[in-house]
Amino acid sequence: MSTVKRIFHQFGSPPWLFRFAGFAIPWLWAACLGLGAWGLWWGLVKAPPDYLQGESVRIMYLHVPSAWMSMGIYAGMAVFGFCALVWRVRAAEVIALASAPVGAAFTLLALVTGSLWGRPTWGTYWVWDARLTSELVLLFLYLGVMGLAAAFDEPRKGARAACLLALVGLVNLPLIHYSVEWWNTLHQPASVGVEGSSIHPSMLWPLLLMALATKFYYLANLLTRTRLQLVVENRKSRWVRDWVLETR
Amino acid sequence: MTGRVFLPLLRRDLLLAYRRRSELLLPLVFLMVVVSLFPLGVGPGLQVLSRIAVGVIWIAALLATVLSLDGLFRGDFEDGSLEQLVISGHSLPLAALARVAGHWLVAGLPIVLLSPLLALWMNLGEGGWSVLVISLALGTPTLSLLGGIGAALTVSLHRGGQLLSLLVFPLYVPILILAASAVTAATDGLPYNGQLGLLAAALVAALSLAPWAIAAALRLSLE
Amino acid sequence: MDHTPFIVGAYAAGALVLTWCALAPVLRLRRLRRQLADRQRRRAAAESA
Repeated sequence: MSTVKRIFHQFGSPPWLFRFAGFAIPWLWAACLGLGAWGLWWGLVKAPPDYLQGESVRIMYLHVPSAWMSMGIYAGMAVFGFCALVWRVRAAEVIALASAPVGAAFTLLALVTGSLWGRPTWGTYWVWDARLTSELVLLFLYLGVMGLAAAFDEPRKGARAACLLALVGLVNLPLIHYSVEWWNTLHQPASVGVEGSSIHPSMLWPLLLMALATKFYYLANLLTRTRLQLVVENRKSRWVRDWVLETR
Repeated sequence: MTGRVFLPLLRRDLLLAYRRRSELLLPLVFLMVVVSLFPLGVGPGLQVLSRIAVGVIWIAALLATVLSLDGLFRGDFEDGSLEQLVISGHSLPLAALARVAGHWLVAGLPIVLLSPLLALWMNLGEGGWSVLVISLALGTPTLSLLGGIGAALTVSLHRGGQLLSLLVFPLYVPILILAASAVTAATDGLPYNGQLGLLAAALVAALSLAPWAIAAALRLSLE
Repeated sequence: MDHTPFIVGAYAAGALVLTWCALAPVLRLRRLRRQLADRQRRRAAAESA
């Protein structure tokens, strides 16, 4: 445990984390935009249309990475929440809380792109399909975490409560996911398994590139939000006052 | 020492509830009003009603549970007895379990007992009645336990009611799905043991995990 | 059925959501920095006066 604690305490030092984030953010953005442009070119121009879904398969290059991120960020948020509650590391609290809006944005995006994909494919914008439904429940979980954090007058108390809720949600998430999937097969025994078909290699590369780009987006956005939160929490301390007066 | 906190707390909660008997009826009246609105909204056609019966009764039960959960720990929080309990050295998860058990006996069990009447109103197929009662008996304690976590997290907030429902409804999704499909299977003459078994498993899991989460949330709220 | 409007719509929504989500904290940090700088300048002026 001592190694974990040491790493966290270095990251937990607000001025150090603030400087580190300020240094890393431009590089992360560069990686995100570079990979994203490459992936978009591959997905929108180079990749062929799918023989079943036609051109609308191109929405997948945005939809699938967003759905992956929406679940991955929730898991990450809960892991940092766990660290915050067990080792009482302030930085982990800040990171967990900063993850929530980014995760909610990806969830929203997965829902919007999913229903825009559904209109040409299924003929309707919204189907109570297992994936869309569990994404919707996931959005509610994110909104709950954000709402709880915002409802407290003391930000730290709200952050810790939100961390605990994220943990409870993480325990429940697989149950929600599998029960929704099972519920769906119960009510739609003859659903068309378009999405279930295996991925053609020509789709794999743009998908992987976009998935990497969204990961860098998350990291850059997370560090930006962490910087904001650090300044809000330490506005009276020396290093913030020095930073405020620095020439831009 | 741990054995000495559960029963006294439970007895106290039941006694307090008994002294305010009229408040006990409120969740039940709420349940009846909500269910009786559905025929008015979707029309009195018996076929339509029997198709949506399970969902309506279960969702009304969810709403009634959450409504009664809002004040689960608030009184104890505001008069300081929660703080006394925490520093008394008694097991806090056990105390939380006592609180939730009291809540279920007062607000959950009546729903279970009332459900045959609701099934009658909603024209639920007769094969589903007993399964509806069993599913509510297995499911509502889980609802109380999961909701207890939300109630403990929002205990120090002044207007936690709507937030509480946002927090706990997503957690209720698996229970709702399992219970509804058990009853639907029973009315269709299909086997339903699997769903009821999973509901029981969820109850056991919630019984063994939720008290610790509630205790952690209460400690957080008192910090 | 022409799929182009749906693809364009999906990517436009993506650009909108992700840009907003990325810019919001930057703008808030900038505003906060300006506020803190103003406050410090005012306090410095009050002390020197």
